[in-house]
Amino acid sequence: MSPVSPPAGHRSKHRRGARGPLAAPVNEFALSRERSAVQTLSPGQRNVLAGIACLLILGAVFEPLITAQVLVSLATLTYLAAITFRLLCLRAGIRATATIKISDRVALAADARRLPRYTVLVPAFHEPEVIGQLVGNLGRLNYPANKLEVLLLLEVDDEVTISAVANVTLPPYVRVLLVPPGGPRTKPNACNWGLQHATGDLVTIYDAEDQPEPLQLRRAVLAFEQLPADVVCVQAKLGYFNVAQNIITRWFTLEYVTWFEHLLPGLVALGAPIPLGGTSNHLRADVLRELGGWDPYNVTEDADLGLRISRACLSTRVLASVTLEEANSDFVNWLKQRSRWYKGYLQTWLIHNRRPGELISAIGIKGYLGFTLFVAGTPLLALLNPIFWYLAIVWLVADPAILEQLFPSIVFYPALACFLIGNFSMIYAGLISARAANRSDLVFAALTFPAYWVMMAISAVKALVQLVFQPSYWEKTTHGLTSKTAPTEQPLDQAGLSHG
Amino acid sequence: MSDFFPFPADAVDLDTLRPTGDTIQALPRPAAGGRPPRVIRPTDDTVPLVLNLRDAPAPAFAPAPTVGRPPKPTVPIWQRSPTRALILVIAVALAYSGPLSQLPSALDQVAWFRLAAVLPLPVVLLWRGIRRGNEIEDHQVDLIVAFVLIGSALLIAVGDPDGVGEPAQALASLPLFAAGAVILLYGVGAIWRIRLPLMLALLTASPLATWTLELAGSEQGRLAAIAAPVCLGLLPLIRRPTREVGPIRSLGQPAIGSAPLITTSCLLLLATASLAAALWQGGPA
Repeated sequence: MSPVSPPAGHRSKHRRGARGPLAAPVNEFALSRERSAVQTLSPGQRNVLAGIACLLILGAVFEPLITAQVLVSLATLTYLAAITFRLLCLRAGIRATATIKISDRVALAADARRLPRYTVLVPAFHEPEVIGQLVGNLGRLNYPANKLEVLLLLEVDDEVTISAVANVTLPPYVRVLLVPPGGPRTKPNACNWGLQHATGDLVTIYDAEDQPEPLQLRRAVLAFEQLPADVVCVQAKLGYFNVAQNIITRWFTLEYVTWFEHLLPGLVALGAPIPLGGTSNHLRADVLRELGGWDPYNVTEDADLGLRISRACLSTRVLASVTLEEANSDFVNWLKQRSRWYKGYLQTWLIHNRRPGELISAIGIKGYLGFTLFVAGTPLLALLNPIFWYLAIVWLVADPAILEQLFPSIVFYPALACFLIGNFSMIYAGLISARAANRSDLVFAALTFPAYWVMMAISAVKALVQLVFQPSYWEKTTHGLTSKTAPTEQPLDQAGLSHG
Repeated sequence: MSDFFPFPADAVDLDTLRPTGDTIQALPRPAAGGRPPRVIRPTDDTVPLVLNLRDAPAPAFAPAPTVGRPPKPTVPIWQRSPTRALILVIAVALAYSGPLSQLPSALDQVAWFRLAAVLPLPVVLLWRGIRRGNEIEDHQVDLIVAFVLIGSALLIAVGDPDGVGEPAQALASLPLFAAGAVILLYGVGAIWRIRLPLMLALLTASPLATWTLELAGSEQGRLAAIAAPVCLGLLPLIRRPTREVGPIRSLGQPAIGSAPLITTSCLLLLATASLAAALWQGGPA
């Protein structure tokens, strides 16, 4: 079988969601408006939301206590469900053997003549400081140069990055594409432009500062060869090269270790859709085009694409190969990045829930629950956390009578269980991940993880505000902060993630 | 035809890239009297959007060498750290004018204690509060965090969680209010720079400190209060670094020794004040 032959039997009728008045495309690959975040809410969703808001206002006016009790009960249920799903996922991830492993020997032995043409998309915007690293990082990729195509995607008015690129010598397989103005200024918009001009049979994305494991492309090709035809995407693991820079980078690393080592394999094992990571997802180019490319208006286009893959009855697997990225080491920069992710997750959930019945028929009820609890649950938990902590602190310090009324015993005990078991299990999960990755230096990060949740809560509030006022605004993450402080590059095998 | 792909010619942004024959007069646009524009030549004139930067010529002009130190950028007076520290003090004084005016007559030790703990904040801000040039800012985050802190301060001021009464009750919310105001004036990054005095103020305003003061009224408490400054004095808050580093510096960031030094001194002063408070009429009434 050719590693890139188109899979048979996927439901192409679902692929772009073209139906009704929202069928107008938003990109060059005919992705319909209905499946795009160009509009956050569909008219139907707006009506439902307005109805809920009216009910809440009426309830708050006429029966404020009962309304508050209902809200607290719903929040507690959400908590319980999301925490239970996470623990299930973790358990499945620890037991699962869903990660695809291709050994170094097999990867190196692959016949270069049989390898397909590969396109690597590298979008960059206002990142002159990492252009120098790009050449070295991509130069380490072990892939035949005549079959490798690297497209460096720059915005046409990004003078600083264009100047920086002009000052480095690029290898012959790297070409610079200027993204024309007109569309939204987002990474997926640039990637769509790159995809239009890509000649590869397989496509992947790296950020400019990424350090992909040298054999990753070979491993991905061989993984596609071994996997069933419905697997159209393999997601490599992401790790960080500046783990020891500060406590934020340690927390971030621990989170990624949990995410890629346990949660994503757990999702695969549970049959839930996989929200792809921002980079290092290797895709069949023809299927990607058929699926509608990336949504230029969605700020987590990767998670959205993961969902569209699932809706088309195709699947994603996790590849045991690591790409090292730069962990965000700055508090405000981290909040910006995380708020974009949360906003994108909420966008993605809303978009795919425009026709919930259709979605359930496509991915099944189990997949739907997994999608909702994981994609919507992540930002929702981050939003609810501070409210409940706040209430807990108020209860401990002042013990006002209103709290007793808010939490009748039927709600109080589940809420207490969430508070105690939920917090403990999340810290414990971090410890397990640190242990599984053999990273004793992350134990302190695991124990102090609640402080990281405070950061998550702030970013969730910011995400919610932006979802209302700036839904497609791409909150730019500043890269290259490591080189400005202390270079703490570390070898792949110490990055906390395992690869083939 | 080169190995580049043919791209639609209409995709060129003519405002930014101006084709001049078979070249593209390209970016960056120079400032008046600055570096001249660089010419980026595509290898194939039918492919205007692909820039073959490998063949690009070297910059025509090397950047002019800088002589001496570059001039300091002029900062408007309202952006300067002392101005903002003054605004902070005025804002706090206005917001807490009621409890502060009652303070001399109330002879409330808890209130004085809480007020004293906030004083290091503006002092440290004078040294370390100013926004750094390379600091990543986000005004949305500033507003969100400030809103939460100031909102919490209002709730505490209204709620009287530890039941100590006016004006101590109002002053319990002072550190949160001050932190919110600091964020609005200096950005959320400043909170990290003032973490030590802020933590001190928050601890002092917490019920924990009230309980400690109450304890100080007892015999054992008085003994503990006597021991506290001694212990604090012995703590390695100021340490001698290794010889390679140079002169004595304080705990905290090696480059900026004055702020933790002030915090440490304030901490010691506060401990002494607590001792005095404990000895004075046997603790809080």
